[in-house]
Amino acid sequence: MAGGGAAAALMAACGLSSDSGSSPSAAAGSSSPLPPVGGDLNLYTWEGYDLTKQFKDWREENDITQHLKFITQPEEVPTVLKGAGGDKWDLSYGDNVVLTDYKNLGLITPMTLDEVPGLAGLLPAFQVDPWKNEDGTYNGAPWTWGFTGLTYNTDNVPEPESWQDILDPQYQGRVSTVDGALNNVGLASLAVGIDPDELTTDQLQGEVKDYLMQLKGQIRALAPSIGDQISLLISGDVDYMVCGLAFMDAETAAKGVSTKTIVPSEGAIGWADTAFIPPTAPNKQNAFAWINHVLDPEQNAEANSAFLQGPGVAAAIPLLSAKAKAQYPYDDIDNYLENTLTFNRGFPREPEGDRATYDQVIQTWEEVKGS
Amino acid sequence: MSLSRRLAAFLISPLGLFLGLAVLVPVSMLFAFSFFHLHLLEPVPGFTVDNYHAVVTSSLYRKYAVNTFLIAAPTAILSVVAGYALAYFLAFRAKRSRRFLLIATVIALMGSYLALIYSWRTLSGEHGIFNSLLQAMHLTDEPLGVLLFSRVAVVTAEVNFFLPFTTLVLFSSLSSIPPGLEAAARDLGASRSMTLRRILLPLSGTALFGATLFVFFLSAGDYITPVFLGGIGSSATFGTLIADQLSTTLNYPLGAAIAFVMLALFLVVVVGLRLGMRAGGLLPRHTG
Repeated sequence: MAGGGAAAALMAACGLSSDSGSSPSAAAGSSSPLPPVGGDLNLYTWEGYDLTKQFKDWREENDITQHLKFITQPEEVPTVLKGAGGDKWDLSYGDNVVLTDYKNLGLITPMTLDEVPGLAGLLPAFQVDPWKNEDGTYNGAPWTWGFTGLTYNTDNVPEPESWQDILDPQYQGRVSTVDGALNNVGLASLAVGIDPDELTTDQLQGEVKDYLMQLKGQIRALAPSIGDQISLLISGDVDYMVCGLAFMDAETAAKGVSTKTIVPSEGAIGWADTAFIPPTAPNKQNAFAWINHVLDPEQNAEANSAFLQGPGVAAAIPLLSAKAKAQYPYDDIDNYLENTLTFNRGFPREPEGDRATYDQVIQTWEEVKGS
Repeated sequence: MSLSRRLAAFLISPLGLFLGLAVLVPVSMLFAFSFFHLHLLEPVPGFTVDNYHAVVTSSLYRKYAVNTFLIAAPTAILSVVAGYALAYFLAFRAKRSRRFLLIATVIALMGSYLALIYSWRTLSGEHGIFNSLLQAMHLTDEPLGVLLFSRVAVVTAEVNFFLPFTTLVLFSSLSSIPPGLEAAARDLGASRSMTLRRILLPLSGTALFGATLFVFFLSAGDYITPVFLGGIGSSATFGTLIADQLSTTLNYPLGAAIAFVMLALFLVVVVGLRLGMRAGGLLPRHTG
């Protein structure tokens, strides 16, 4: 193609590759020996998941210098990893919604049990796709999990039973959600009784968009970040927060506001935040070591006790703090993870039959916002 | 020196080189991207006008454009009108207080943009100072929702932010007008409004033109204030749309096309404002 070389040069100058992404399989199982652990470790992570304080001794023992950048929205992770300077990150995060997508985009290096022995101790719910591949390799380490549900102010409004309850006209202007297409469309699918992994284009444009339009009529403001969601609840500007997270309850309680995050009767989106290693990671040995350390049952329990989230490692459950143990029904945890929460796999980038695609989901959310 | 020689001299100067590298090259690259298409997050080189077609024909983008205009236009008008009044006072009426007011205006520019936005959220929330005052004075029975998470809130905060800019630009223009001109017009029987319309506004028309466009462009491209202070509908602006395309969905081609459509709309605004101000006698016909 005439001009293709110049265009490729332009893209390279922008830090964008002109090929269609490196093959995951090509990146997997690299046979070149890794250097010993030590040196730099560049984490592009959710704030808090760096475990900087908890891993202080580990870093000193291994002579590791940590560099950090925080994720603000899941959608930006591919942007950063594929953009200029994206090849410097050793470890990043994706949940079940985006993991398959990241794999197809060539952002993930599959890891083996030899490289990360702790993966064998994951709960059964995480020993399946999208975390584990058919060849026995893993796309990452889902070391912490929880759910995206509905948070409400316990002093101002009654506990909702259903996602439909927040559409009651009396709550107009008392609802907020985060400005993110994937989470909102996923939850709206559940609200109308559709498994997000089976959502079709027609359903997206039909029932799901209808629900989102009704929700829009109730919404006072969109929160640009998780911190902003918490601020809106604390300020009293809203009473219901769609895309609520359980840890928000502790944050609001610290400011004297009582909130509770629940799973409505139609369900909630389960997420397992998964640490993965990009193929371009310059310090893979340090990233493997970090993941091994976080999958150690004691470390895993300590981290998840602090976050009040679920541990990905089965052996960490007995070691959780009492408060963390009270968050989930650990006596029946496999059933809870299997049947109460929906760990959806996200939306395909390319058309797959009549399934709604990623672009259609983004477009629908933009239509809802702009209508 | 002829115009072409002056242009050549400028282009080979360090400033010209800097502008070339920092502005022209990135803009050219973005323009090239607008004709690419996206495949698995990768802009694929080629030549397609699909992105422009989508932006121009979609009712969704028209709604974003209208909302952008409904924020940028009042922001520009209010910033310029209020800035003109303040600049007039500083140039012709303030005596001892001029220095103090000028310093205060400059200090207003120094605050953090985000701090200002969060200040507005604190002031205008349901339990904020404004609503508490209104209720304490029995002017309202319940908190006014329009003060926050609305188009009004976005425009108010942006006027707050841009007012010092317009004041300084207009003060610079008005202070160059000899005070005797206003006095002479009044001596010859012109009313205050006639003096303003026939003397002051035409003589400061170029600054008015520049200040209006300056605020309009910055407001239309702002993607921070609408997100933090706008509601779900009023945060849907071209600025937030471009930001979403470039930073969230990585759709550089579509984001670039939206940016250039927005640029084209800006040119329409420039021409329209210029024609309108000329017709109103606010802009000299010989102004370039």
